[in-house]
Amino acid sequence: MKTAIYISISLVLSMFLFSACGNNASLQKYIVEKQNDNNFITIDLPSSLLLTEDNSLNKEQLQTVKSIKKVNMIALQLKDENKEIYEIEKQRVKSILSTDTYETLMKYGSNDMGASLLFTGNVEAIDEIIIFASDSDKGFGLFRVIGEDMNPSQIVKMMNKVNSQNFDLSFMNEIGGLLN
Amino acid sequence: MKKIIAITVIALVSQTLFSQGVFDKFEDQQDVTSMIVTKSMFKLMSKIDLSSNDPKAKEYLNMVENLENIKIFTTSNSGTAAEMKKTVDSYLKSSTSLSELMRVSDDGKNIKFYVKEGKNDNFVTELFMFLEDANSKDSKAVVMSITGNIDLRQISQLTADLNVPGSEQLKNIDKNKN
Repeated sequence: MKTAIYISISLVLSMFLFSACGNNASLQKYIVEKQNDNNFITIDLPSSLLLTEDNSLNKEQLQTVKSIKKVNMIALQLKDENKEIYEIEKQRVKSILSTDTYETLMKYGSNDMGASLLFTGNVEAIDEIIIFASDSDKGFGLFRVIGEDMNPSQIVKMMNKVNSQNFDLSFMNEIGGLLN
Repeated sequence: MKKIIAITVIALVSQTLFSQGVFDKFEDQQDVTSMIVTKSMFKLMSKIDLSSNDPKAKEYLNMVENLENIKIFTTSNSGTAAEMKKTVDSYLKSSTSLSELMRVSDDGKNIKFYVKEGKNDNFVTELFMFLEDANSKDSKAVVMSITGNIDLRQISQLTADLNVPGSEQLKNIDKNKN
């Protein structure tokens, strides 16, 4: 009788513990850990570097840009020799993203491709946007926009202003170069 | 006492299983293409309100904001399609509140729509669709479930936007109802 109670209590407790452990394995930690890993391509870009000096953004738009702190990218290119690492790392990222911290917005999956869009914060003040995509031929990539109270409506409005005159987009070419 | 504990544990466990949804098992299966959109996405979409002066767009956004989630599973494999049919059958049996809305048979294609009654005639809490097409190469079976506070008068617009099969026929729902 008593043991039954103990068992159920410990069951419930372990549930809580599991979820707590999950939170500790944050994406931030993971990315920092992979920054020195040769299997990975990582890019870390503060948003302030992206703005050109003679941009034509108004005050509100500048505020929006400032709400975005930085852009993170991490990718693992699939080659013959790293198939095992690919599977392990993909599962690790997946399990981090499946914790309660990250809320899924959209998910797509097919035979050899998968993509998901997640975020943290709330819908009017987003802290982090994450895109995770994998392809069983090419590898996987994780793209992350970190900010503070990012307003989706403002960001979409600002998108019209994203051009080479306002932003230094040369990093795009670098990413393309790294992946090829 | 022991029984009570056992029941509580089972209840807890089964609840978490159920909340996963009966069709989620197809998500990671081979030969299945899945698409899931969550409540937060709809909330987010309704916040990005760019053409706020258009009353039609406003109505549409209003409906989008009230959606819970959309799940679409498509398979190109006839074995998986048969399994989907089985799951659909047991789902329809287990949930008595789902009633058939309409049925379309067209060129070997079989589409069935089911709804769960909402607050009034124009609203449903779930729109469920099952499509079978043995001749199709890419989509031998499609399962779609939309949950939330769904305005049937707006839903065909949404399914058309999502490129869901059968959305053409859904346009007539309104007329059928009145």
